[in-house]
Amino acid sequence: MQIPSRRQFLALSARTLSAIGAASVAGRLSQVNALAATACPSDYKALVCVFLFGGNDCNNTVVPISTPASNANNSYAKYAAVRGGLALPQASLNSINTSQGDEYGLHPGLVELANLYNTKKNVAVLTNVGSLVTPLTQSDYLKKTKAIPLNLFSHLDQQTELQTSVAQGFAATGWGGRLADAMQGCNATGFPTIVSVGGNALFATGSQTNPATVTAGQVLGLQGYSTSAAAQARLTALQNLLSFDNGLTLVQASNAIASNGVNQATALNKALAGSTPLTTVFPNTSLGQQLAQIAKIINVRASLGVNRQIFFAYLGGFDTHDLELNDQGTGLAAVSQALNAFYNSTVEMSVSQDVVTFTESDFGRTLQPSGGSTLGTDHAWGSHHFIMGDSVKGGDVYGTFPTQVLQGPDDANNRGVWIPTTSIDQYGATLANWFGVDPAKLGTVFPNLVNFAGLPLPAFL
Amino acid sequence: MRGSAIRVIIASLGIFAPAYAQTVTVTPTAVSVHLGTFFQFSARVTGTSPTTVGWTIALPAGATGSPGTISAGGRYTPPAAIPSTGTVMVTATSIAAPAVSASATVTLLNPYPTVASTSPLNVAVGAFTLTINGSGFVTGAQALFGGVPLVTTFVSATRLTASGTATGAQSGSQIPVTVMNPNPGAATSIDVVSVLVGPPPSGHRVAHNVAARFLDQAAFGPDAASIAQVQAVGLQTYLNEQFAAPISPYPDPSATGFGIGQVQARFFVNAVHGPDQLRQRVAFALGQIFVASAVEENSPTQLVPYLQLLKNDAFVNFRQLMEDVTLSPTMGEYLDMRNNDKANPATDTRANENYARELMQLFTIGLSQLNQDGTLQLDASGNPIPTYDQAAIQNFAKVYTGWTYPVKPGATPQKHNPAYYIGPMVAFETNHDTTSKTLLNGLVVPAGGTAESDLKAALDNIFSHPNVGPFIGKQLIQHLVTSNPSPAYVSRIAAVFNDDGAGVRGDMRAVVRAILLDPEARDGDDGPALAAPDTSGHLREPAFAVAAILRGLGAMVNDTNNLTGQATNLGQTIFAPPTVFNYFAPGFSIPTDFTGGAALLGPEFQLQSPSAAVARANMVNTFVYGGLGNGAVIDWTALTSLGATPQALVDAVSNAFMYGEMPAAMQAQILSAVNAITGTSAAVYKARAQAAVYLTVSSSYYNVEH
Repeated sequence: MQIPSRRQFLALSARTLSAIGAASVAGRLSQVNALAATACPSDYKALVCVFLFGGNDCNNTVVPISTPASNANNSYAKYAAVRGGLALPQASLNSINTSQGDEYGLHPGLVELANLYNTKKNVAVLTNVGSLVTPLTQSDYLKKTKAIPLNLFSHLDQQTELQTSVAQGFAATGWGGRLADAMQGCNATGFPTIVSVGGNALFATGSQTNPATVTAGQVLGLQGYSTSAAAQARLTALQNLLSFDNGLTLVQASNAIASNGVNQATALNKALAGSTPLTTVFPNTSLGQQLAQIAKIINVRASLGVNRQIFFAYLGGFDTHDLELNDQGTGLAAVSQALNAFYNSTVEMSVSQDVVTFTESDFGRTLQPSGGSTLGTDHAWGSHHFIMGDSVKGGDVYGTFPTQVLQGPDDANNRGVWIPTTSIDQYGATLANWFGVDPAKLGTVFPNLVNFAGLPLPAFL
Repeated sequence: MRGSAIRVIIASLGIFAPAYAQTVTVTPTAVSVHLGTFFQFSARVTGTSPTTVGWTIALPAGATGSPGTISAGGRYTPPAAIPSTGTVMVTATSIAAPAVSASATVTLLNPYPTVASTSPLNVAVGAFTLTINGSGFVTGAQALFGGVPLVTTFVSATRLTASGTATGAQSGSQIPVTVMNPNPGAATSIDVVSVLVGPPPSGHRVAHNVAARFLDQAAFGPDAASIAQVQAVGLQTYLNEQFAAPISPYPDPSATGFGIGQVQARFFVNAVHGPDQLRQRVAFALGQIFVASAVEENSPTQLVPYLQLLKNDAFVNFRQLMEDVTLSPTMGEYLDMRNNDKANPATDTRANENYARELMQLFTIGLSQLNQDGTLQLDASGNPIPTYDQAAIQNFAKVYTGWTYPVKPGATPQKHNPAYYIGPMVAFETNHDTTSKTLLNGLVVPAGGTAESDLKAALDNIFSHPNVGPFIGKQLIQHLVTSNPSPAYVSRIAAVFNDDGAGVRGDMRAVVRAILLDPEARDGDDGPALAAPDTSGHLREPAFAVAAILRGLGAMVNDTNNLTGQATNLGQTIFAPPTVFNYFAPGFSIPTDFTGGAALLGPEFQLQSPSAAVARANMVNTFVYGGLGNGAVIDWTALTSLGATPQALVDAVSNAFMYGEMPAAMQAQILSAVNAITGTSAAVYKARAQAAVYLTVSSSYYNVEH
């Protein structure tokens, strides 16, 4: 099958939408999608996406120490030679070993993740993953003989492509949302399959599914209504205004969103009211509180009547053009501590086998530093990511680690910009397969996956 | 020397007598060409080698004026004015055999007229005078109003004035304005420029609903005083007053303490009470395009100079704004242009690409080539066309090298000055990359330039890119008026950006005026303009919603307010967009589930998750029932006094927040809630007022300004 052009893909999305028809506001929550009729298992599974906005510098996240099995050309010395002032001291790295006997060092801030990797073997590393339209060698890229992702080094485009998996650009839905579309019949009450604690996220938007959103620390649901007759009359008026058809499309859209918000909050409040609070302590950081909120929702999954859930959380601040040692250190420490607490909460809830948490980012960064007031790096491409959960075949490093040489065989230009050897489609497909998606639907979740047919999916799950 | 004279001299020499037939043929031999266009001749030579010709152009004997020019390849460019005879002669002469030639006659015609804009854009019924801006006008040009000739005065090739009468029958209509040039080559302009004819001048006041809705676009929402002012002086004069209004200040960083809380609080004081409403709206919009976020620039010392720059420059020429932002130390810090040194082979670092990329991607031209109407240009395969590539980024990065913080008074200039934010960055030439750089559209900045000369060349290069008008124009329309302007609306605004009528590119005053007075902006003044589904309008961003609600209530706000927290709860922390990509993207599409399948932009909807929508209603609940917190007070007296007469109460709330146009169905809902509050005490009447306000300003009908 030929690689779909942007126009063909947009046409595909439009046909899908028109097959569903316009959504009614009140009926939305109980609508079972004909396209997604799937025999669902009765067990529970959840995927949690943690998106690091800005483009996390992979090169200081996972450092090769001695890797004769995976890439004999790599070593700490080679890495340090190019990184110059940005090189992390070897003694400060958190050492991890692979099943083949290689040694890598994780960033000093990733203490907890390294510990889980080493002791529980429930953290895996996937290396050199990024947005691709089709498998790409260095020669393909330099000679421009194959399609490449749109606007490679632009934050907005790469954040979009990593959330949608459509590397040609312009997709209106995210792969998390499309995965939720494909699994929609699995939730009994119609509470949204996908919940974002990071606001509207493209990752979480599907063709038939829109995410429920919760803001950590914010009260759920409409405030200010007592049981008095007057208050209830006001509430009735407000609800009637939410369905008042005024012929203005943007007003209708605002009403639809607000209705969803009211209904979702009502369902969540009801479920949370009967639950026992968790004892796991979460860090008082943005990501810590987001994951704490997710844990609370997982805790009431039975009341919500959900078998399959997808969550979206995020952390910003990774666009380290400057002050990288300081800023990435803070960011990765926050990630490690928050993920560790979240894992502990899944143990507390007895779902540690059923929840898989994984990271994504816009792109990696240049191996070669950029000058500035203090050292930083510029936008790059392939990056390294983490997958955590007791079902994960952790304690190992997956993917192909790039050769740490400028203008080397993995460099897209001359600054250490890694051409990915695993695509976001392959990464996501492994997660989706574990999640239980119907294999026949995998192509609608990842439209470009067909371009990687015949290649093995990463085996961390 | 005349061409004919030259041929006579050569022929008389007799030394070029050909041994075989040598001929030159010019095609065509006669043609009419409009001024302002060009014409390509061709020549065919036989019997010589080589077969090249030289082209010359001449007036007929006795004619005055200029014949125009012709290139070595035979491309004829007419002169600026038709010469006295109206014709010129084009001659092709064989290079190998100069005695052999052929000629063609060109009859020159008047240029094609184009109309770019008129001033004003609205006229009242009755006599009017228009200034018409465009190009290609000649003496004798005739302006037409709906096809009817106007008494026309020629001012220049780019300007006419014309007067006529708008009839009562034309009231409320858009009347097209065209210009017809006379013979030779009479032609009529084809651009779609029209003038709105207003209602008959009874009372000479702008209607309340028009004034109030205008203030939702040109101010942070209507309040009683500003409505009265717009009604009294009209839209045009109000805009003139706004351009001249004193600039509301930010607190002095030396007096604020370390955090930006006081600067943020002042934003709301200025938004609710400041006289320079339009400047504040535009500066707030510019700050969401030229983002230097307080997430990093988080002390008043860093932030206030940049905020002040945006306000000071809200109405200056865009090229000036580009330069002032580029040399702002705050922006230099935010996007790493300060202390961005040229490549250093010893440490193997390169010039930082951050500012080079974002200046183009976000601040000026965007990623893809645009048509004037803001739509994407597409290549033969249907794909967008990039405006720049990675090589261009690296070249621009080299241009922006060698700048550092300004010198603190009394300090010694160094190659990397310590952080200081007052005044523009200064250059330290040894850190500047002096190699030659190739920029956009093949422009080469030669080697040996200074930091400043290279910078100016680069900014000129970007400024002249045709994308700037539609790229910036469309975003300003989205911030002020509607998320989904028609391509024609964008095109009209881009045309004004390209040429304000006086030949100036980048006149932002003209652009802002054009945006607000455009027929599409004024279209909804009498209620939703289009048949359902009407896709106009935009969701009020949180800061705008807070300010507009307070202005509508006549609230008093001072510097101790905590209103920033309210907007933060809705996803918008004042002055602190999470990244250089702002709080929301201009290209954000509303999920089609919510639009009935229609593909519509809704940048502000990016913040409007379901929980944020509920949070907005809860914010209104807090304002109405819990108070505004410190430093902000609502006086409920006036509305409470209408509590005994529910319809009058609803009318007052409709006037304050919905231009007096609240739909009947909505009024019915509010009345049922109001009437459910029974009794005759002052407390009851206040509760009724609160209920009416709560339901109105929490509604989508209010929150989507349309």
